[in-house]
Amino acid sequence: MNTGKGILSFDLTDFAFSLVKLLAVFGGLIWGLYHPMSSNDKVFFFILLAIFFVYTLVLYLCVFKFADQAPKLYLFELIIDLMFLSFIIPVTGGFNSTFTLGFFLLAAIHSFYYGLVASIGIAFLISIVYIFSCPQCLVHQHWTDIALRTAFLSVLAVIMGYLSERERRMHRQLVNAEQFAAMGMMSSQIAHAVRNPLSTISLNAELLSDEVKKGQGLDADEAETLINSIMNEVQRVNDVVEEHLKFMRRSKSEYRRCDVNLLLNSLINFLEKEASRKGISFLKSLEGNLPDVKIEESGLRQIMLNIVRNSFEAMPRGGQIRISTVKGKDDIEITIEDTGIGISRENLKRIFEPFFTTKDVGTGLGLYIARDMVIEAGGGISCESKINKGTKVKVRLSFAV
Amino acid sequence: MAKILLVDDDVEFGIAFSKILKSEGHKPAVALNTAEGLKTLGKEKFDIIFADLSMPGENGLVLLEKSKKGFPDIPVVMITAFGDWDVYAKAIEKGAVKFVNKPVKKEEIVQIIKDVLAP
Repeated sequence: MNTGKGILSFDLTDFAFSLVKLLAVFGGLIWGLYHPMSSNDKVFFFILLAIFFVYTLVLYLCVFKFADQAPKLYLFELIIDLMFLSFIIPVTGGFNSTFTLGFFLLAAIHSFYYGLVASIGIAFLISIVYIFSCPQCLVHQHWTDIALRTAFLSVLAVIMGYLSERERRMHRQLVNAEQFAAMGMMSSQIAHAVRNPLSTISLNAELLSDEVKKGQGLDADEAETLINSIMNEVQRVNDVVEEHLKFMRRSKSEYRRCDVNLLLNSLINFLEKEASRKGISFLKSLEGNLPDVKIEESGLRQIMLNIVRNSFEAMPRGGQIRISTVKGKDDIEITIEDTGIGISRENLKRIFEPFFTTKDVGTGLGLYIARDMVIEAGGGISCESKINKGTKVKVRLSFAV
Repeated sequence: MAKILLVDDDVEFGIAFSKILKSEGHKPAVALNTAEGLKTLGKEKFDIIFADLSMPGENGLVLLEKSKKGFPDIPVVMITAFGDWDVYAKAIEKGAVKFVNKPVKKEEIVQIIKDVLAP
């Protein structure tokens, strides 16, 4: 399953959170069954619990399916959970309800997920909701109790936020260290492979020099042997270097794969605000379960960004950009269609030329580079347009192996 | 005039090294791996061992260890293209008398033999 680029991806963490949630529902159920409550309150409690259970299932299904939206979904979850808690607390004992501990749980989980800076905001938000979760109970509480509880909650939130920052940092360091070690190993391998032949060449050169110094006594056959040995070693060095280069190129191409839908979704998210400011809306039509394509992610992102930016500029008074992906027999076709001013037939012929541009700003290299990258990846790019109707750019990319 | 054993899997280097030693009046022998090297040590008496660090199979450190065990009186010089401080320390710890980096010049070799064999 393709997971999102969020801080954490749907794995142990999300699974653990969903488990905790379901346990909480289960705990609440047991509580409701055996704790003495007025019948009105009991009905209200179980209705709330049922709705909460359904909502939790739906939420985690969404997190599973739209893993890249997880951060947004969890924020939504925080707010809805806080709402549920504030409904449940008045009917389960008010300020002294056991369910107020739910606020602490939420503070801890979400602070850990979002990090140190967010934890401060989370602490503040949850404290406010906590205090006002039972307005009628507030009058019976001493301000010292309220203050101390919110203080505990805030400290917990910030500590979790701090711990999560630390874990993130350590993880980054680990990744860096691994990369560094890998590079180091490569370098010493190359050094070793080059120095060995070099030392042979060096010794043979010295021997040759001695031979030449003999003057009349020079052994021509021996000299020739030494020279041949030197030339062989030179060839050997070159072969070794060439092999290492080939290896580097090969392992680079192993990283040449990209999840198109994931990339397009994150691109649209990234451009959403700017688009709405310009009165441009995105229409997505992405075919599900697409295999990865054989192109580097950073390259495809650059290409898509270029094309979409062109569309932005073709619609100064707003419009619509339709982005669709379709699976072919052995390739995927990405179509980006706008409702902009279009391109004239003469210009359309030149659109992929380097340094060709109809704008005042820009290098005119965007589409040229895009085409270069796409072709190098074994794919194709094409462009159709009608003046005042819009432009359609199609990018075809083959499946990654 | 010393009997010198080189243990190195690089054939061409072995040939060049031997020629250099011969031109200096020494008696060289070459073994292409640790096992062969130990066998050769058992057959003849050598004055110095030159061992390459990174050989496939049992590397130079293993040869160092085993030769020190079996033939503790023969000084072992490590030559290598590696030049890692870590390994340098390990080699000295295990009893290597010197540690040289490839590419190595004739004068270096000559000087090392002189130093090692000095009374």
